[in-house]
Amino acid sequence: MTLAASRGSALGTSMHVVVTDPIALDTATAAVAEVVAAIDVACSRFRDDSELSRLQAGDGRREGIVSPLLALALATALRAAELTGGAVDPTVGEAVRNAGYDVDFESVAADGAPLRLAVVPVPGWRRIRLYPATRRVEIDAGVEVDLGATAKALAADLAAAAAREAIGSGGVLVNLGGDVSVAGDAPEEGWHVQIAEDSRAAITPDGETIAIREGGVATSSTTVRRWRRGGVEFHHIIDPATGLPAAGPWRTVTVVAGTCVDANIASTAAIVRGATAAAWLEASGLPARLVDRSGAMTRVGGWPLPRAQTS
Amino acid sequence: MAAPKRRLTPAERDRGLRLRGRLTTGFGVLGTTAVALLAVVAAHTHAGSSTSAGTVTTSSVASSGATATTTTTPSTSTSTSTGSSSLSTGSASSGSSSSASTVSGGS
Repeated sequence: MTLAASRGSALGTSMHVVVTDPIALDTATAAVAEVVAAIDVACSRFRDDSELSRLQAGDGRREGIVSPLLALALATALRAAELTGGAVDPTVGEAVRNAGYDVDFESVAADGAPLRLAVVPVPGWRRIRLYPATRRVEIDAGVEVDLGATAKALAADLAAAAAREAIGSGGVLVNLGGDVSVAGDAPEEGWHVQIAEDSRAAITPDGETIAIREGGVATSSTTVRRWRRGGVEFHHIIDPATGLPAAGPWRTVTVVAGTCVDANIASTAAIVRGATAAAWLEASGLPARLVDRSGAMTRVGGWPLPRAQTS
Repeated sequence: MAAPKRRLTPAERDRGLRLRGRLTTGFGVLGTTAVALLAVVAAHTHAGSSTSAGTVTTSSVASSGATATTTTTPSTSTSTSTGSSSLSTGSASSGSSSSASTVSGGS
């Protein structure tokens, strides 16, 4: 089967759309772009005009009725927090900003003066209240919401579904910065996804590759989106328990799940959970590949061995 | 194995369909999709809750800038984030780098 693909950028990262019917590529790409743009307008913390920025502008307790899309993104983030025991928490906004990631990453200085940081747990997701039926949201004073951990994966899932709806038949794969979601009919041999530490990496002949037919794949890594302050390396995955970049043994975790959102929740939580992550993923029945700081790999939950090792 | 999901009750299904129908006017395709998804999320996030009497009118602006107004019946006043009780699982098999069409990595 001949696949067709388009590449672009969105949400501060790469956007890759693949379809099984080359004639449908433009339609699918347009549908993906529309969803991604809408997520950006609703959820970005780097845009003053985003709905999230406007919602949480000002001091004190904030509240309001939000759009269906922002409500969905908030519900997704809160579900992530609940299912991970708070390891993936949308109230990390102030912590990630204090760590130096306070603008779109392309504008974050690679190096800078030392930061004075304290170990302070983030406020916690229970200080955001969402009433889905009315889309009413209440955010307690001092809580800064960052949907970055789940919004990109949600965008991938929504975009894949929208693209499949737009083209009417066949299959679609959407990859937003390493968050992969597929919809519709997979190619006969499945969607082949190469796993890397950096989503910008080129496909290589010896790169570990898996095949999926549905759901999603997500990779979280501390090796990208890094910056230095006072000689200390920082990364963007915050441990809610400390309010500081996660310091566990895993540098990169990839998970396969029924949706890209769930894969992303699990991969991010695994980085935060550290030493207990492999057992947690195994117990959750999630195929996962974990890379520790030395580069050693651990595969759990039915993650397939690379082809060279399977014979 | 897929995580068990609670089935929508007929009342929930009908309420979601009515809400979607009313919001469709004035909304673009994305707004409609989001509303439909939110209806599903709302149904899943109110497991075990009962419906209270009364109505509430809400307005929202879709990405197109069009404003839609709807009247719907609120659920309980208790907020919740609980959806499915576990992460959905997936499966993968060994793939071929020569067939790889994309890369999953950190970003």
